[in-house]
Amino acid sequence: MAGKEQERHPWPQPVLRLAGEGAVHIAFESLSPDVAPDAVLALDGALAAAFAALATAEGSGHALAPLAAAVIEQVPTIRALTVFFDPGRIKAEAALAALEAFVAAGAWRRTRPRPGAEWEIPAVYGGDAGPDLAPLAEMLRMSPEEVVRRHAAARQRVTMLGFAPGSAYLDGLPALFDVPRRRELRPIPAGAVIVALRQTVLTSVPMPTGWYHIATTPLRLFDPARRWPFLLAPADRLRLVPITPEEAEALDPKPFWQQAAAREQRRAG
Amino acid sequence: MTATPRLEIVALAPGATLQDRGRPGWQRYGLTEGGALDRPALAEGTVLLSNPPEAAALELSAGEARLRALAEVWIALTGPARPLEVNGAPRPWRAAFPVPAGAEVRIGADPGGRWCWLHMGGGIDGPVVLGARSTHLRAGIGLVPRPGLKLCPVMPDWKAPAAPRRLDLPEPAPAGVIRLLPGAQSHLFPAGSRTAFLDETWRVTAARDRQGMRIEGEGGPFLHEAGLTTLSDVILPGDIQITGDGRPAILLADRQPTGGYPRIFTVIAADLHRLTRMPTGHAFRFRLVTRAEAAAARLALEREIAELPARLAPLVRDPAALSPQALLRHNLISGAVAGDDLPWQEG
Repeated sequence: MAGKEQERHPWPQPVLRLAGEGAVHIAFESLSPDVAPDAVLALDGALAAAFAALATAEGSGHALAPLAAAVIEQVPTIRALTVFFDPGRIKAEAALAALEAFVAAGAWRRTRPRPGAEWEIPAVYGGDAGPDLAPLAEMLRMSPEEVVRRHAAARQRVTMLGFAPGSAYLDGLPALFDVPRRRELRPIPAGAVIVALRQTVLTSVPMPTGWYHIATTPLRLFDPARRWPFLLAPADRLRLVPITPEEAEALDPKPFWQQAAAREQRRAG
Repeated sequence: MTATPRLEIVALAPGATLQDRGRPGWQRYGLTEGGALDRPALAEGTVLLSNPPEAAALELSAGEARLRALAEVWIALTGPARPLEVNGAPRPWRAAFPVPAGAEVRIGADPGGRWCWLHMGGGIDGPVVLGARSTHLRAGIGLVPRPGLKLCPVMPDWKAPAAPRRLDLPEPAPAGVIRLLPGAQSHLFPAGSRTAFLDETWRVTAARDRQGMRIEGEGGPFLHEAGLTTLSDVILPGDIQITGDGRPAILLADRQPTGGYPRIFTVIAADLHRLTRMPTGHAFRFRLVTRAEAAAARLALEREIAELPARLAPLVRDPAALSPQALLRHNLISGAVAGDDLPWQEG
């Protein structure tokens, strides 16, 4: 997607709208879903950096200063960044004005998404761990091995976490994976690696889906028993690494969770 | 946990959870804020028992629940009133009182399909995840109430009030109007669809859980222009999602964090509990308000909550000694009723 990124640089001006009482929705309505996550994550990173700078430096006079103390979180989705704020600490109109000024100033429009953590996520492809690998390969008229090779070769990127805690939507797949969802819904386990619409989703809870379930990772994407319970974060990049069921059985998740905690410390600090 | 358990769950309908004020701020990671569906009802229990504001309560679904006191324990029930008995004798709703060791507490079913909250002196303990004890069933977070589960207080040295007490508050009638603000996707709906939505009279259906409540229009399925599927986008608390079947869903504290169905409007924060307090079948309308009105409603609700301690009153009348007429009336009306009929508010 690097080519497209450059095509659209600088990012177009998004549309800002107040949503409910405590959110500003910033949408890149002119961008296609292929390109929009780059713009969303670029704005997400630039805004987080601006808030962080305000927290340390003398921030009075900055357009964002009135919002900085009231902001709750930034939520990236495919084509929009939503900024949640406490309406008890800033008027909605003032929050909107602060973000409009930041967006209009435009420095962020030449930035790229701030890189997140880099991952190699182990997954067992095919068999019971990926019952839809064979049907997908048949549809794509290639061998299951070739589908695995191409899926695992892609450097994918977390565009958003959605549906359930820790469930990660990934872009960066080659066009051949732009397959429609299936009509019938079937149950899949937590950790399922599912594919459709040129996206991968790593799931954190069992659910019914019409996507192709081609692999399963032994890692939990969300583990409430851990102090930092979310494995992946928006803007993280990853490759899937095919492993055997025996390797999955023996996998030690600890280093992965250490990396997740380290990433959050960097973000917070 | 060193605290001794005080209450044991004997029987319970599915859908019960432990809830406190929730954990806002993690939707970026796919986790919605959770927390008690009725914030004033949570606050009332906290005030009645002098619990800390972060105390968690048992959020009970509409079915009957029974618990046994393992030691003397103070409790309070809040939310839409239901029959409440200790060892078969009626006890007051929205009041704090001690239950002797060994006694059985019975909370009757709500034919209106609504939730209520059981509070315990010292707060109910459960695993703390991201700063809150709120259960999130789908995400596997927190305590899952079930028969046999024993409830421990967070504060073993909690000090009971000097005497049983109640909150001197009128029992509000179910709301007739729910106030709305535009959301991020309101503009995707043609003006005609938005007007039709606001002109409709709606009814609460029996389909409700912590993810959302389905409503249906008196005029039949609410249909809108086709082709309104959107990219997966963030969902706010109170968002009204329009799906293909014409029965909109109002999305609540345990909603999915993102979704692809368009949302027509957003219920204001101050009206979410007025919505969840509606019994099944209750008719109401929506009204679009200004941001200033929404802010005023939010401040008014905050003020009401802040002033709850001033409403504490001694529980003077022993409801076990009520007149047979009052008891009979109480049993006949079983829950989904206006509060001025409830026996402990007589006299």
